Amino acid sequence: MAGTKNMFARGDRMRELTFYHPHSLEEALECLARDPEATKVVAGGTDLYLQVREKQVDAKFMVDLSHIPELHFFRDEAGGTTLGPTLTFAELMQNQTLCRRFPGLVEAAGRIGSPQVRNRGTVGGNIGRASPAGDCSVALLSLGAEVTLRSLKEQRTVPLSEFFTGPGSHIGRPEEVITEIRLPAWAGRSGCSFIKLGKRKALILAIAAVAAYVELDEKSRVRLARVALGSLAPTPRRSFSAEAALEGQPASMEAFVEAGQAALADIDPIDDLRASADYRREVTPVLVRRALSMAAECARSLDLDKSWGGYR
Amino acid sequence: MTTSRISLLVNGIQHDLEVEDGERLLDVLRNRLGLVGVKEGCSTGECGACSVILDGKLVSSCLIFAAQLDGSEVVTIEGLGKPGALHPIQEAFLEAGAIQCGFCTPGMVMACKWLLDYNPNPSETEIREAMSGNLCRCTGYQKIVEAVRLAAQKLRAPSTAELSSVKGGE
Amino acid sequence: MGNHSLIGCSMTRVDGVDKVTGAGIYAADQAMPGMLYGRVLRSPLPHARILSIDTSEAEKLPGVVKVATAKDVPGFNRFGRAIPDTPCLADTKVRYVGDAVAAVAAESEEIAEQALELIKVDYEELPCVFDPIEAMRPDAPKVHEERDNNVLAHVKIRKGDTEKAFQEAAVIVENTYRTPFVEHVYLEPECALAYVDAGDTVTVISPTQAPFNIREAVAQVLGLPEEKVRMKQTVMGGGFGGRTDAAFDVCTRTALLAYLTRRPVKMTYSRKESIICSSKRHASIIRYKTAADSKGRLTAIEVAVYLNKGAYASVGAFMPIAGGLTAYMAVHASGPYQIPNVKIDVYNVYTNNPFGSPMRGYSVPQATFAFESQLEQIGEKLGIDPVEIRLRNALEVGSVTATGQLLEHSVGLKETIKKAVELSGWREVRSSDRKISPTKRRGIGIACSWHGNSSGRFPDWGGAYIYLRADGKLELHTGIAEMGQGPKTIFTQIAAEQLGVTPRIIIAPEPDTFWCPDSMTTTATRSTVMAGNATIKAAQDAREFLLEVAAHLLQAEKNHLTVSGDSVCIMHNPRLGISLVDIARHCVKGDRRLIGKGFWQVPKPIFDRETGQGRTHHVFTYITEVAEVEVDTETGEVTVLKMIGVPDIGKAINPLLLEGQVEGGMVMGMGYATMEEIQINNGYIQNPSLTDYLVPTSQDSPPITVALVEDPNRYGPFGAKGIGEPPVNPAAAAIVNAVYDAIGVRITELPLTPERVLKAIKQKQGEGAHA
Repeated sequence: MAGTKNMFARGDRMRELTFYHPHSLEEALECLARDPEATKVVAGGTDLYLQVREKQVDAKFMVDLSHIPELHFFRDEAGGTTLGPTLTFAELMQNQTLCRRFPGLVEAAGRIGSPQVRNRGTVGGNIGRASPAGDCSVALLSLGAEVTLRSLKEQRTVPLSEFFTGPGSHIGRPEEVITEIRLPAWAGRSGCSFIKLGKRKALILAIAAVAAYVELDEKSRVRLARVALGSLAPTPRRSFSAEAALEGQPASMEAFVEAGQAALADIDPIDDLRASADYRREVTPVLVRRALSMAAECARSLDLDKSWGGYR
Repeated sequence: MTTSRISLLVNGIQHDLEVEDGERLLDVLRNRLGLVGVKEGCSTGECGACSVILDGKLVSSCLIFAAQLDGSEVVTIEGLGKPGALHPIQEAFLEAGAIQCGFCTPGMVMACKWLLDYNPNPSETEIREAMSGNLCRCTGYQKIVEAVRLAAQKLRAPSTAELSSVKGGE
Repeated sequence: MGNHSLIGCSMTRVDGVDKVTGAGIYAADQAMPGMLYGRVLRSPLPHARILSIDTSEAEKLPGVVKVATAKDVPGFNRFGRAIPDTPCLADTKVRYVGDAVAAVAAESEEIAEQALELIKVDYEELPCVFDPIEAMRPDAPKVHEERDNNVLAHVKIRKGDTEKAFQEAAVIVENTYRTPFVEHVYLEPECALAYVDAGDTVTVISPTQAPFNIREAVAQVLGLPEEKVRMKQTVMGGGFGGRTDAAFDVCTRTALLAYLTRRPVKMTYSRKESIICSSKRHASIIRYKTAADSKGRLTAIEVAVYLNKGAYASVGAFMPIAGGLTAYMAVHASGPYQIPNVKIDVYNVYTNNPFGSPMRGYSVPQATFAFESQLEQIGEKLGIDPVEIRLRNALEVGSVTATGQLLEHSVGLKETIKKAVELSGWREVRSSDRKISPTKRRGIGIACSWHGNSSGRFPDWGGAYIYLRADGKLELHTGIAEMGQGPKTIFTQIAAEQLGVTPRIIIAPEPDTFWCPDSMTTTATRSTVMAGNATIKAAQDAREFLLEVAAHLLQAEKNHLTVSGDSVCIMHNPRLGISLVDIARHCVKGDRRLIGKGFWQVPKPIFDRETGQGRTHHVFTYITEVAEVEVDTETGEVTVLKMIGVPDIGKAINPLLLEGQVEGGMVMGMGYATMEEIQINNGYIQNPSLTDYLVPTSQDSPPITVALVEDPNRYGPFGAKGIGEPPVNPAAAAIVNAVYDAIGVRITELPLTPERVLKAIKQKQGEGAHA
C-alpha cells in the first residue's frame, strides 16, 4: 500500500466493465465460457464491487446471476437440505427450517456485515469470495456442506472442506459457477452453533470465529462432531484435531475443553489490524469450547432430560 | 464503455435509463436523477448514509451495480414525506431530537422504514440491530432509538389491527 | 422578563425538516456549469525532500486544465491555525504521508485522477521521527528545519512546593498513560466548490468551523485582500473540531485551482483520503504522579505530557493569552479538584505523523483519562470510595484552581456527582457480586471532568446581526457554524425571546462572510456563550429599532409599544399594531436591512507564562459520568451496558438539543475508550477506512440517561454555559474505572481492545500465581 500513487484514489467508476444479463443458468455458463479468465459472476455484488474497484479482482466482463431462477431456491428433502447460491443472508435468517435445524448457520448469516449487506449479499458469494473471515463459510463447513460447481462441459460436487485453497482462492475454475450448496440430512439429536469475536458488536470482520456441530447418541456421547474455524488460518478451515478429540466422548465440559486445546494444532493465525496471532491462539480454545457447549446444548434441547448444565 | 438499459421505478416514477456497466445505484440516483438526499459517506458500504430501499429491502446503494437492477423498484428519502407533509417516521425523528448534522438522517430514516415495514412493534434490541448498518457520529443513537419507537407508535396508531395482521403474514 | 417562555424549551430544531427530508444541500450536492474537478497529489513518504516535480506528462492528458505546484501559488504558500507552517502545496519537503504536493483540475474526476499518476516527483528520503519523546532528543531529525528543535510548545504550571508535598504525602500514585491518534469521522467527507466571479472575487462554498479564518487563509495563499474572498458555508455533515483544519486544506487548494483556471472547481475527498490526510486527536504520553494526605485530600501533582503533534502546528502552538491546545491541556490537567501544589509540563512535539488538531475535548479527554485513573487509585489505597474521594476534592465556589483562579460562580460539580450516583444505581452494583457467570464480570465506574468555555485566547468575541427582510422575516446571522450541535435553533430561541417575536419568523442561514459577523471559530465550547450574548445584544438593538419605526408609523409613544408574535402593538391593546411585514414595507429598501448588531467579548484572561498562574476561562462546564460494563474474562471483550451523564450547564436553553450533545459526546468517548485508534506504522496509517477504523454502532452504544444541573453562569446568556465538548471528556475514564471495578485490572493505554484487556487479565493472573 505504501508508496503507490493511487493510495488516495476515489476511482468510483469502472468504465471498462461489460455486463451480461442471462436469464438461465445455461445462458450464464455460455457467457462465462467466452472469456473465463476475464469474467466474473456477480449476484449481490457487495464484496465484488469493492474488489473490482480496488483492483484486487481483474474483470472485464460480469455475468449477472441475480435474474436466474435456477440459482435462487431452497429445497428440504429426505436426503438433505439444498441452498441455491443466490439466497441472501437475510433469506437464510428468515428461513424457518434453517432457524429450527441449523441455528449456527442462521447466526452466522446474521453476523455478516450490516442489514444492508445481509439483504443483498449471497451465500454463494460468501463461498466464492473465499475470505478467511467468511462467516457463512465457517458455519457451512461445520455442517459438512458440499458445493456443486458447473461449467458448460461438466458438473462436479466437492466437500466445502476441500474447496478453499488460500485467502481469496479456491479450487473452482474460472468457467465454473456454484450451482448449489448441500447440507447432509438432518440427524435427530444434533445441534450447531456459531460464535464470532470482534472488536465491535456489529459491522465487523471477525478476529476469530468458530462454528460447531455435534450429534449425540442415546447416551449423550458425541457420535459426530465438526468444528470449523474462521480468521484463524489462510482459509475457513475444519479442525479435525478437535473433532477427533471428541468422537465417542461424553458431551461434557472436560471433553470440550480438551477439544479446544486440540484445535490449536489446526490453526495458523496471523497478526493483523484486528488482533495478534498470539491473541488468536489464546482465544481459540475458549471459543471452541463455548461453540461446542452451545451446540451440545442445542442438541440436548430436544431431550426431555434438561439436567445437563454447562456454561458458555 | 458499455452500457445496460434498465427500467427502474424510483419513488413511484418509471425511469428508462441507459447506465454505464460500472455505475453504482448511488451514482444513478444522485447524478442522473438528482436525488441528492442519498448521501455518500464512505463508498465502501460501512456507513449506511447511502441506504435506500430496493425491492422492499434496505441496501447500501454504493455497493450495487445499477446494471443489475432492470425491473427493480427503489425508494429514497425523497420518496417519503416532503416539507409540509412529513412522513410519520420523519416527524418522529424531528420530535425525538434524533437529528443533528443530518448527514446520516436520510439513511437512518430509510432503515427505520424498512424495519417498521416488516416489524411494526420492534424491541430496543431489534431496533439497535436494524440500525446497526447506519453510523451516526453525532447522536450516540439514544434519540434515534427513541425516534424509531415513536415512529412505530405513530404508524400503529391509525389502525393497530390492520398492521398487526401484516406482521402475522411475515 | 423574568418569565422566559422560550428559554428552557425543547423546540424542535429549525433545520430539522430540511435534514429529515433530504432537502438539506451539502457541499457535494452542488454543481456549477463548466465545473472542473480537483484532486490533490499527496506524499507517499513520511519525510522527504522534493528534488523535482515534472508535470509535463500530466498536462498533456486530454481534459487536464491545470496542474498546480508550489510555484503556481500566487500569494504566501503557508497557512495554519496558530502559526503559518503548512504549505498549500509542498515546496521544499513533505512532512507526513498525505502532505499535498500538487493539485490538478480536470474535466472529470477520473481524468484528474489519471493525471495524478502522470506527475513525476523525485524525492530524497529523509530520516523520520514518529515518537514525541524521541523527537525531543537533540539529534532527532527536524520536521521543520527552520526551527531550533521539534518542540512546538512547552506550557508550564507551577504552584506551591510539590517536592515537599510528595515528601509529606500519606499516599503517592505514579503511572504513565498512553492514548492513540483518533479520527473525527465527520460523516460527510471534505468537499469544497470554488469559483471566481467577474468582479474577481473568489467564492468558496464548503462546510467549515471557521469561515473567517478560512477566508483569511485563502486570501493569503492567493495574494488577495480578504474582501476579495467570500466564504459561504453549506449544511455541514459533522465537524467535531476537524473542520477547522480539514477546511483549510480543501478550501485553499480548491480556491487555488479555481483562481488559476478561472473556472468553478469542485473537490471531494474519498473517505480513505480523508482519513489519511486529515488532522487527528493528538496521541499522548502522560506521566502522572499524585499525592494525597491520609484523609484522601489531594496535596500535589506532578505531570509531564508529551503530545504527538505530527507534521503541522494546527492549534498546538501557544496562542496568547492562554490559548492553544497545549495550554488547554496544561490548564485542565489537574482535573476539577483543589490541589495546593502543582507542577505540570506539557510538550507538544512535531513528528512525521498526520497532524493533531482540535477534536471535541481539545486534549481534556486525554487528561481526564489520566487524572481520573489516578484519583481512583488514591482512593483505593486509602480505602475511600470513588464517589467520596471525588466529593472530598471537588472544586466548588470559592475554590482556587491549579492555575490560581478563584472560582466565583457556577461550580455545580458536586451536584453533578451526587445526581449521577443517584441515577446510576451505584451502591447496588458496588455492593453486589461482580461475578455474574463463571466467565463474565460486571463493574461500575465514575469519572468527572471540566471544560473551560472558549479558547483562552484574547481577543475573543462573538457577534450577531439581525436583518429585517422585505418579507417581514428576521434573518439572524451569528457567524457560528451549524454542524449539528444546534446553534441555529438556540440562537433563534434567544433572539425570539429577547425580541418578543415568534421564532417562526426568524431565519438562521448558514454563515456567509458577506453577510455575517465574525464570531471567530465554532470550537472550544464557546458558541452558546459568545454568540448567545451577542445575539441578546443584537436582539435588543433590533427591538429598539422596530419599536421606533412602529412608534413613528402608529403615531404612538415608543414606550407604549411592545413586540409580540409577528408584529409591534400597543401594550394595552394588542389588537392595535403593525405587522413586521408592514414595518418592512416602510423601512427596508432592497431585500434586507441591518436592524440589530451585537458583539460580546470575554473578560480578558490572565496567564503567567512561567508559572501558569492567572485566570484563564470566565467559566467552566463540569460533568460527571457513570458507566456500567461487563467484561468477558476469557476473551477480554468489554460491553458497556449503560451510561449516565450529568453536566452542570448553567442553564439549558434547549434541553432536547442539549441531551443530544451529551449523549453523542458520551458515545464518542465510549468509542475512544473501547475501539477507536488510528493504527499507524512508521507514518503509514494502516486502517484508512471505516471497515478498519471503528466507531461505535447502535449495537455497541449503551442506553444513556442524561440529567442536568443548572448552576447559573453569570456571564452566560440566561445563565448558560457551553456543552459541545465536555461530554466526551470523562467517558473513557469512567469506562476504564468500571473495568477496574469489574476485574481488578487497571488499563493505562487506550483503547480497551479485547486483546489489551485479556493481556492485562493474564498478567494479573500470572502475578497472582507467583505471589
